[in-house]
Amino acid sequence: MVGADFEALYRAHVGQVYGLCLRLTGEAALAEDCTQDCFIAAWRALPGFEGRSQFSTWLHRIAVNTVLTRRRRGRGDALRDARELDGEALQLTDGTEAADTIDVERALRRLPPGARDVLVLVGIYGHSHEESAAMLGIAIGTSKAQLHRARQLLATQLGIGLETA
Amino acid sequence: MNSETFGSVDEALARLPRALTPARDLWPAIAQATGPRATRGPRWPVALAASLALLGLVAALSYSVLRPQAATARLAQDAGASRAAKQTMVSFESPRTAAFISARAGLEKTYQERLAMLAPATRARVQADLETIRKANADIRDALSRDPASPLLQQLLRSTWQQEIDLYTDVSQATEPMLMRRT
Repeated sequence: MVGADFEALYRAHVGQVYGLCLRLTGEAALAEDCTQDCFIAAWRALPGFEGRSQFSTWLHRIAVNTVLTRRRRGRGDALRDARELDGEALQLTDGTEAADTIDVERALRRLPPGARDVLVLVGIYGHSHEESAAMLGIAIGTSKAQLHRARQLLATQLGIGLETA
Repeated sequence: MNSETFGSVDEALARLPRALTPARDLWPAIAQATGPRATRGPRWPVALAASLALLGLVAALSYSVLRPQAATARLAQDAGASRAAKQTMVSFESPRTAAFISARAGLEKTYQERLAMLAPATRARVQADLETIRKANADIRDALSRDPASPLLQQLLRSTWQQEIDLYTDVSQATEPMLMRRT
């Protein structure tokens, strides 16, 4: 039997990890696979977790690495620009305002992968550019530039401004 | 249309839920993949496993008995805001700091003062939950004394601190409307 302790950690973090994977891959089945791989990898890497970063940040790093590995293998291409959002794929934990947020999720999917990756990590999950750059294997300046590009593209798609007036 | 819904990109992103629910339970496959290794892992006491299992239920139970009371009054929204502010004040990354100790003490004092305002059944539920949290905390600390470098145990210990504070603030939130009616 796997320890109840690790299952408790899984239950506490699976929502965010799956959300992150879904937004990076754009595909529910692939996101589920990545989430599973992420927790299995986390279990194996757990002895090396030194507590220097938050546990969630550490877990997100593993999740991003899992997604990027899948992309490199060609099994999961996140560039599904014109694809309509599968309503069943996106089960929001909070059903309120689902229609509004689905508009945003659709717009996110249409972003170029590089820009979307940074927007998801920095704009949604609150990671710093340093963390984003480290996770994605890019320069900090690139992360900043991609975020700027992503926000502009998203604003255009949604027909809204960049910042609150 | 979206300009009416969202004022800005920042607002649109802020409204997105961070956590999403997968369509299927992913745990069985993870458990299968990690099972053999788990048996070679640190063996913590059965009591700890039992505590953790109960701990997982506490938040939902407390929430279910406390939240309906708060939700009956519009004032609960304001109480929720103050709760959020209090939680923001408490840094769970540094639970041994003076700021944390002070904030926790303040919340515990409010909890003690307001506990009597709850209905007997609710009060009993809340007290039982707090006891479960404290027992889990003690069991985890005990396990940590034997395996002090375990990041998993450290994470679980932090979660008990969080749950204790959540319980205090839930009681505070649920009793806020009663206090307002008295004044």
